[in-house]
Amino acid sequence: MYNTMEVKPVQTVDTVSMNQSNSDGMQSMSFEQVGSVFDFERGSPTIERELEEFNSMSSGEREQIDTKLDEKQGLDLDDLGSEEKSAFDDVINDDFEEGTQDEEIEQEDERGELEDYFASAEFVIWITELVLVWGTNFYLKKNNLDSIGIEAFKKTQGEQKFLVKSWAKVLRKNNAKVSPEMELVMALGSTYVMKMKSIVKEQKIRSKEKELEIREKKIKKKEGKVVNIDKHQKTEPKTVKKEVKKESKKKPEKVDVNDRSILFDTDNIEEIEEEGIGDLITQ
Amino acid sequence: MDGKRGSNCIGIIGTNNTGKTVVSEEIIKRFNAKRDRLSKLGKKYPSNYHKLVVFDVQNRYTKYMREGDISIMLDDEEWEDKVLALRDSLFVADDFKVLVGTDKISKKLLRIFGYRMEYGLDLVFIVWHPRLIPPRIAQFIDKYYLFRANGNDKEYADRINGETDEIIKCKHAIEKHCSKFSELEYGEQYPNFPFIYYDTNLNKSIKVNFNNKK
Repeated sequence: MYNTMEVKPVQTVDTVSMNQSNSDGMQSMSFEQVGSVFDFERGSPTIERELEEFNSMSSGEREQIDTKLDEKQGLDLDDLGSEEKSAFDDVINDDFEEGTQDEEIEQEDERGELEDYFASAEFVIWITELVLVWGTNFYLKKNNLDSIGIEAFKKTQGEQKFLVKSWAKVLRKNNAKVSPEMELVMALGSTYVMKMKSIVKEQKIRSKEKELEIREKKIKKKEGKVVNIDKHQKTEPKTVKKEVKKESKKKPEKVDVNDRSILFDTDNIEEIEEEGIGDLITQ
Repeated sequence: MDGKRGSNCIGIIGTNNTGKTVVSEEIIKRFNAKRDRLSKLGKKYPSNYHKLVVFDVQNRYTKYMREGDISIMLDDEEWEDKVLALRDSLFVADDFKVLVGTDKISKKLLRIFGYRMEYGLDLVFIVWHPRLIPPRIAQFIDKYYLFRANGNDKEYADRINGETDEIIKCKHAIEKHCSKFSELEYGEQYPNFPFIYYDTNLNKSIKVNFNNKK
């Protein structure tokens, strides 16, 4: 371990002796050698000027500056400003603006590149998904389990973006340029995949609508039966009453004179009286 | 001029438990040794000289801090001013992305990079994935300590300022070396964890602690 209190002669990475070169051309060192870059006392025109000023001050003035520094936890940049400072500021400001513009351009470029790769990426992802679905279903069938659809591999937007990025990286890394024929196949694939997707969706909606219609019909049929039964139950007593009424109307017509029970039928007494007892006797 | 004009802007990249913090502690120890050496010379310096500034979420650097050193808190909105006011000092930010938040870096932070040579600031940024180095900062980092880390070749090439082939070579070399160790065996390498030192200016990569016994 490096002894912190030990005063070592200053060494640089360049001057220090290095160990043997490895098969990959890299040299080996210990940290003690690499860390030599921290051993220097730093110097610059600003530091030199500041130290000169400081050393030319009396001890009282030095104390004042130190307390001022301690209060501020550091020097005020304006107090220690140099001619170089303004030049630095200009460079930094320009650099900053250029930098932000560069970043924006980089981001736009990246977006553009991703768009270029999107169609082919989607095609490749779709093929992969199909293979995965087929493979998974093969395994599931072997284990007597229910098979799955391509929906099982539904992705979030983030996942989709990640996959496209990865595809773009692979192409970029290998400097791969997709041939026009392949591009055509991919474009056809991607567009027809979209169409197929929409057709499948429509078909699903249609089949669901049909199912709903069938169900509604079934429900209506069932409801209809219930209604008929209820009507029948309600009308039955009415017909009985009507029949009773009819019977009651018809009864006088079928009066049998020999039937003595009529004599005890108080309801018919009046009618008989109206028709005339004399007539009955003559008959 | 007594001192040498220059600055080290170092990016340390590695997943958890690969030795990033241990190496950064070594850097701080080295810096403290320099402070001791300079104080022995009897020269007088203003109080903003030779300070250690840390963003230390894990409180790993507290034991190395001395009077006047600064520990940056997460809610400190003026931390860039504090760093800018220092001379010939070391700034270590463990989990740097937590401190800066987004990839868009402030003008003040950019100013730190611009003045680092003039003010003699050594800057050390620790991240656990190359993607966590903001792109605007990547162009200033001139030295890397590459530990085993996640991330593909492109992420390394994009976020590390240097020759792509060399960077990818470094990535593969450290991965290959670390694959020899189990997690336990890797832990036993403490405190000499293997990493690759890559100097972007010289386009030179050096294996560090690769000769440890497996």
